[in-house]
Amino acid sequence: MRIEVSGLVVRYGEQAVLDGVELSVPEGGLHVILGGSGTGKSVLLRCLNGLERPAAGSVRVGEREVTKLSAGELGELRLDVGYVFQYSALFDSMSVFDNVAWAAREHRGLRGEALREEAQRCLTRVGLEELVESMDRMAPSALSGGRRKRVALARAMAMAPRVLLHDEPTSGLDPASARAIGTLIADLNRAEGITTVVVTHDLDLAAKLAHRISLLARGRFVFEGNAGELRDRTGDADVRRYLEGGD
Amino acid sequence: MGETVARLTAAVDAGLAGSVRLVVDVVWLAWRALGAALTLRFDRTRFVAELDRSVVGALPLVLAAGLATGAVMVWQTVEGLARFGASVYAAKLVALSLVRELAPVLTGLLLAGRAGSAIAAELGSMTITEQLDAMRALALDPIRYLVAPRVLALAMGLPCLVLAFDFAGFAGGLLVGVLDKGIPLGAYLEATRSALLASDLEGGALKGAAFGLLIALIGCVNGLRTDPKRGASDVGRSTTGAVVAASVAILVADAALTRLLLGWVV
Repeated sequence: MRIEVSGLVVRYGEQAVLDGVELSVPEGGLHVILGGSGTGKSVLLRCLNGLERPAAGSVRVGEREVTKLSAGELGELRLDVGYVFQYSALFDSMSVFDNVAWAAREHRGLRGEALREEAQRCLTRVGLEELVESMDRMAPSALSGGRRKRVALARAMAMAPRVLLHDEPTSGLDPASARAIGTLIADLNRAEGITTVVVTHDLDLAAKLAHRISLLARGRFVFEGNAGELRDRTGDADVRRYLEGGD
Repeated sequence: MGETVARLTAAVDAGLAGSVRLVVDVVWLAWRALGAALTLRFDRTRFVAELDRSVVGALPLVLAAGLATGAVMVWQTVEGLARFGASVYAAKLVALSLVRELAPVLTGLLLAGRAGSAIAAELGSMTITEQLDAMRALALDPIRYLVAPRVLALAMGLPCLVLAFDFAGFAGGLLVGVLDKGIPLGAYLEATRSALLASDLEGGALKGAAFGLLIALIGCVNGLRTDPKRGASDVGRSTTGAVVAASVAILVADAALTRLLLGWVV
């Protein structure tokens, strides 16, 4: 599924958080959106699956114009668009199994052994084979940050999505876990052909993943290219501010 | 002076606007939740879990409150009626006040504190930790999975708790009336039986259902309106708001329903 964003404007009160954003991600592509804190990266991601309604502009995911979808149509869109939240947003009153299996049970009609096999497949796919045995009794609160991210990814994978949106996938992780998550995202994109958009402030992750990087500043993209080109663009004030600021 | 008046006026305006917004949100949520309930598009497993947590879990509290209320009422009324040699009428008075007023209102207030706060706190926490957004992102409707089961469980469960309060209240009154105040058991039971009509019990249960609906809806609205940007402090605000608004709503609804039911029962 390709993603096309054009003239996207999001306002909070008088302030334009996004002010004319343009983005194009081809089917199966992997696009990284970089930017400092509070530049609207997550807001842009939320617009891609209709969690946020823009004030103006167009967001197309596949054949659907997201900004014009009704609540029911948004539900259909979200069956194709997996979203992995910054702090994982696991359902803390449920076990790991229920977290991963819930949407598959409701939307794909899987039950009993088929549902267990699907949950096992998703956990194994994200490198959590060791959780398969204990997934019924394991609570999300008992997991480390890295494992929580992986369970959140497994939960999104259980929907068999064609698009995956990652919000700050490495935030709060140690360097080794961050590298492992980066490898996993790249692998899922390559092996499954899932169109992927990653929002991060982590330039190392962007350099590792990127087919294409955009830098968001002052409500719009001020740079598009790869990590090497970004590092060389020190003459641009926004790029320099991002590189020197480090976030 | 002028500044104080202006500040007071602004506070009243804000309070009124807040109340109107709450009423609009409650009506909107009621429409959606009842729509999901009537078309059976709600999570039955969560409905049963909520019945267990909010209704069965509150039973000991309600029984204790009922027992104490019945006992206190008999002590108070016998004290007054004895002056006219009419102690046995305490049973009638207690029965009527319990069934028509005290059981539904006190049960409602207890549940507003217990279940209403729990609902607001739980949904508020889910909001600030993005769990509600995660549900939406998984195309899982929070109304169907979180709101409708709670609304149905409280609307159906509260009438049962009101009846439990009634019987605990009768028991408390009977114990005090017979053992402490020396009213003959047969006379006490007969006075209670003759005072009550089936419609009194039905009216109390109806109030219970209405209060259950209000507690769940107001709890859900407050929880869902929690501002993620304000974090944990807004969960506290939502929880307090849910209890206060539900308590006021119960008292106002009780006045309206009492007028309605008195016209019906006489």
